[in-house]
Amino acid sequence: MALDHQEAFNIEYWLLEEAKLKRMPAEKPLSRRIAIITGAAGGIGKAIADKLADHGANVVLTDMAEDRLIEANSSYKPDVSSYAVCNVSSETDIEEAYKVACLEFGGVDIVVHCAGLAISKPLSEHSMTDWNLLQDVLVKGQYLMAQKGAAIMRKQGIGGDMVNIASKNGLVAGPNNVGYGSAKAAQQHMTRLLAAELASDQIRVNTINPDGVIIGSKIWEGKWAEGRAKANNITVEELPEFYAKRNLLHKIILPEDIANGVFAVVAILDKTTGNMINVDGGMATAFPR
Amino acid sequence: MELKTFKHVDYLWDETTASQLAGDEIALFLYRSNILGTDLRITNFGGGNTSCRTIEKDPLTSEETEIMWIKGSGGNLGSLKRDGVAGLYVDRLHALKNIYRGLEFEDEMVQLYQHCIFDLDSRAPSIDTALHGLLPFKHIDHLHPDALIAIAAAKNSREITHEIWGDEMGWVPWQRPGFDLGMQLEKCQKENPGIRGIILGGHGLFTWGDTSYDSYINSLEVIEQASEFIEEHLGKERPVFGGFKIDSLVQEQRKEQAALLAPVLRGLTSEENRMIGHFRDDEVVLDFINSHDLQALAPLGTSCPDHFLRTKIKPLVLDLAPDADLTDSDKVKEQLVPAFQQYRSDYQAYYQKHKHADSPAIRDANPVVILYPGVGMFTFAKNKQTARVAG
Repeated sequence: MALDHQEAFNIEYWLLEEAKLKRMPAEKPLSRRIAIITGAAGGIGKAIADKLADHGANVVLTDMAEDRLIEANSSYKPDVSSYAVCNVSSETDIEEAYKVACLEFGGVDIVVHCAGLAISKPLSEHSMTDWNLLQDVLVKGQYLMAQKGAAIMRKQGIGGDMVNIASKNGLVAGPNNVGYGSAKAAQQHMTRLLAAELASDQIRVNTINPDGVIIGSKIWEGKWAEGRAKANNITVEELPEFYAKRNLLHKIILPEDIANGVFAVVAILDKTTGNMINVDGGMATAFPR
Repeated sequence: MELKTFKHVDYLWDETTASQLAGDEIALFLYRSNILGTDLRITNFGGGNTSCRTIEKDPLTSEETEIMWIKGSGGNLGSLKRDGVAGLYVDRLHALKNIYRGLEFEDEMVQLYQHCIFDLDSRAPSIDTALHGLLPFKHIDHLHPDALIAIAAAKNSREITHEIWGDEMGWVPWQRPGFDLGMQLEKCQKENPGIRGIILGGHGLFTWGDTSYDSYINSLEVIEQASEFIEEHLGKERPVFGGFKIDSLVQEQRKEQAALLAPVLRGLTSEENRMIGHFRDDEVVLDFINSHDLQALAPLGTSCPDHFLRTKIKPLVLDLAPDADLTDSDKVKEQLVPAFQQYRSDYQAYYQKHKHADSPAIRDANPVVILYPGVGMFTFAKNKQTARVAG
């Protein structure tokens, strides 16, 4: 037996019920939005997911290692996050990850491609394996995330955001960086191409260029840090200070700073597309022109 | 203490925890509230409220006076803490009977509850304050258990209540919560002093006890008895929901179809405000959405006011074959748009027809609950928790 409609209306639009709704806390800038972030189990990707979630978004974390994903996922309150194990160079993995976003939250609004790795070698030592890995994760990964993500955004018809995490090295011809720098430059140009193509669907595409994020970044845990320290004649411990001194503001760049860049293009700069923002403490060689 | 066993509810009372709270009636009432709220069969999220009474010294007269502590407005039992509670003078609540002007003036009573406040750090008192306040018990539970809603919403609710509990249970017909309903509960209990609880037609349950534990056990027993009754009678005269009309897809295919369709539905329900979705395809959902009775029952909507505030008056049932080809989303959208337009215009008509001069502006006209027979149930709301709870 159901309620009489007038009685139902009287409850639904009861002035006291309305007062209760008005007392609810104001919504956050990214509430009602769903973000998928690659490389989100740690480092910069996790910092981005944290920032977006703090500001109200639901986040779907993707990464290669399930144990790290489970740990990252458990750092959020219930009803905020989900995760999918995903190798971004695999089309099926990416499809499965988007399926999680669709079943858990209904779709996707924000795609952040942050998965990455760094290999620094001179041309003579660079192998095909190195080259293919960089192209697969950085370039093909971004392309597939954009392609499958745009398809879902078009189904929803309510616009969307893509943010690609590239690097200063896509703009600056640094030493021994042919594979990494080329892939990062490809990411940056793909941003412009996609911004032009997807604008009619109100999908904005922008690039964030970090540089010298050492503390908390996974890239720096391995051989890369040792290599950089050795190349500059300092110890690994001295790297953060060393990198801070390289930039104009003499700032140590943290994962949270990159996350702030993503937040800015997604939540604040809502009329910006095809653009890039450097988050590097200021590097004259990397000024876009 | 005799250990009780229950089949249809979780018995969660832990004597070690409770004994550490002995003598602190408010702490024991909070403990009971938390364990009641943990089992969603006992009450829906954010639904129901609980109370207890203590004797306190009135700061103005230094005289001992009875204070009722009750869950504040908008809280959730499972996570209720000391700061989510309102403390009110019981004698002042009774004094409100002298100035109550009648059903048309219900709303002004809520303001007057503020004048009954003893604890200056109180949360805003719940609309249900009078329902507790005019009953003479130390500990009271007001719950919306699934099993009790089924009985409270049944056409012959009063008869079923009598069949299960005989003279031990009171029954009052459906009425919007307010001061008048409080007076009806008081009257019902006074006329039937031996009862262990009262069923509110179309709404839920009131149960009570001398101690927090007694109230807890009383609530659990009543819910258990109601659940047993339903289990015994389920599908006896005719199959539940008239039996199956269509078969479900296998789980993997259900998920496949749901993932393809969810973004389309999200786009359509986000027409006014962007929404977050939730999907369920468990047995309980499939039993209903695949049934013969779906077309007849769905338009009736939910029967409990506390539920339909979250679900809207009726769900949208999709006219889509379970194995429909959903790969061409433009075609799917084209097929679904008329049903959404119909739903929105029905809702607008419902608002126009029933609104009063001082009614708040119309809210989002899009469906919250969307049923896809053979596949599952989608719910859409402002955030995941609200969407999940609506489902």
